[in-house]
Amino acid sequence: MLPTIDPTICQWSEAAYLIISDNITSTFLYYAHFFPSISGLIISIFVLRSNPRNSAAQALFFTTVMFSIWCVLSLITWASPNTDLVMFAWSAMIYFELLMYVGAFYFIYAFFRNSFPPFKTELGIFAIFLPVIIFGHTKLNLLGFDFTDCARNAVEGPLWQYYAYGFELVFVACILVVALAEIKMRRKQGGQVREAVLVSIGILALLLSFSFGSIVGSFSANWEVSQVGLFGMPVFVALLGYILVRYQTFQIKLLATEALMAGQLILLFSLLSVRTIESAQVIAIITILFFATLGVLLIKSVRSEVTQRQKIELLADSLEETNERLKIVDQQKSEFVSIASHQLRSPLTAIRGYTSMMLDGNFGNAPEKMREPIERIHESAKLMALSIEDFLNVSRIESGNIKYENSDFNLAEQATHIVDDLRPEATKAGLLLLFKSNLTRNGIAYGDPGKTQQILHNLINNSMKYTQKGTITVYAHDDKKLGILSIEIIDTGIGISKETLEGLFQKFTRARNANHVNINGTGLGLFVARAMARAMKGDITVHSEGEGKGSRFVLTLPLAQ
Amino acid sequence: MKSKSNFKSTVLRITLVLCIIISLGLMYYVNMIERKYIIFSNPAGPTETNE
Repeated sequence: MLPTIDPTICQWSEAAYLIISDNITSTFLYYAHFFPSISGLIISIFVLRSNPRNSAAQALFFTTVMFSIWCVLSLITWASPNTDLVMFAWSAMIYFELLMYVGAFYFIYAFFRNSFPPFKTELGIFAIFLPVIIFGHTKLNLLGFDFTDCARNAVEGPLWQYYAYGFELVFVACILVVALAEIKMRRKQGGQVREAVLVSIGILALLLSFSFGSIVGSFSANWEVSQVGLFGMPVFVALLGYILVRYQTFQIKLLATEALMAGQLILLFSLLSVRTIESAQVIAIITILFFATLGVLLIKSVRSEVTQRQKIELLADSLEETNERLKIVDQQKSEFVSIASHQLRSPLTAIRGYTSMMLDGNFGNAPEKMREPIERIHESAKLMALSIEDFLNVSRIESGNIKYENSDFNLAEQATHIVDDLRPEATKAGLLLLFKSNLTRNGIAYGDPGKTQQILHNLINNSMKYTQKGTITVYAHDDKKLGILSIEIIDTGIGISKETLEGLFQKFTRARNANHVNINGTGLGLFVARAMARAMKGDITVHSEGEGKGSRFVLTLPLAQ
Repeated sequence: MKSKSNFKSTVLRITLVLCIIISLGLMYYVNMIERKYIIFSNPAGPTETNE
């Protein structure tokens, strides 16, 4: 025999859309269900949309979805005259209520630790969920339907009254433990303690007020009073909103605007379906609260952005002005260096020429005592000429006055010749200068042969200067796929530290340990070499394991077509 | 190691969801189709039942 109840005795009304019915006499009930669930859902959707891969955002969305389903089921139990449906909805609520607690635990865990709990914890959660899964459909969950005095309540069994509430309190305790551990750690490490405190208070307010409402309703059978517990959700949402704006958690800029617009639309549409003035008033109150909360946050956020933009605009103007001034100064400097270098080069050419002639005996044999000073003058003039050449090259590169005569040429052969030329000098310095090659083609590259010779000479010479003993290997190889020909200069010299590597190709940059070995460098050679290589669609890179561990310079040029 | 743990977690979550769906189905069957629940029509206790 099926249960028999005659709803006409109690004069229950039919429910439209399962939840709209005159059985709900107090509009407060709608307000208590709709406002928390809609506001929570909106915030969590926008948070998730902005950070789809963020674990905390996913857990927040899950929590608010569970809460919203719970609210719908709860409204069905209030509105529906169908006892079967009321029993089913009431039975099912146990899952969504408990899953909301699980979601809240996941949220706080992911918010603080950026990941979900470990597998063992999840297994534990599954284990304590098992009794609900096994006995959810039995009388341990719901004993029956209370028809006394037309009261439309389910009579809860021990699964609801003891196990579920115990489950909830255990999760509240777990959240408290995770939150306190995080706050303690942040305090110790000087992190954002206030953010952790606010989010913990928010989530605990949500869960404790919810549990309190459910427990009061369950034991007193006054379910209307218990609805106050649902207001934990707006408290949580308000705190979450504050955290989002104050600490830019989840990095959302337009969240408040989007949430405000969406919330406003939903509330306005809901006005179309209300039937009483009281319901319209409730929606108006919700709207006011919505505006008050999100509007203030929005205004604060906009004000802060406007102030920041004004500051940025001022800084940009000032930066532009400074940049213009710097350009003029830089141009003047380049012109000055160019003129000065030309002026210096002419007398130097004369000094070098005459000292060379004196050493060759063109003015008669110089006395033995004078030979050494003349040789020193000649060498110094040569070094000075090289430095001036570097300055001139920088000046030409910066003013764009270098001309490149690109053509196909045998780079491997050129490298062999340079190695042969420099070998006596290397041998004299006690170094072994080797040439190796692994070419799949004939070693012909495309570029300016003169400039390339200058670059290679510079790189090999540099290696010789900064290698006191050991070997310098010049290694030529090509890569058909990439279409490049590479010349590597590998030495066993003083090496380069990681810090120096980063700025080695900038002007006037020299390795920290360079002065111990060679005091004559200007710090311009590598800048000039890379600028020239890049202008020929090639490049120069440098690699070193650190000081004392040698270095490897790689010149690449495009292969000839 | 982490991906193995992630896989196990995913399997566990899917199992939990399936269990809940089955349990909800049973709830629907018991309450909406079989209508196996007690009706309390006075404070003294159950008066009508289908059992």
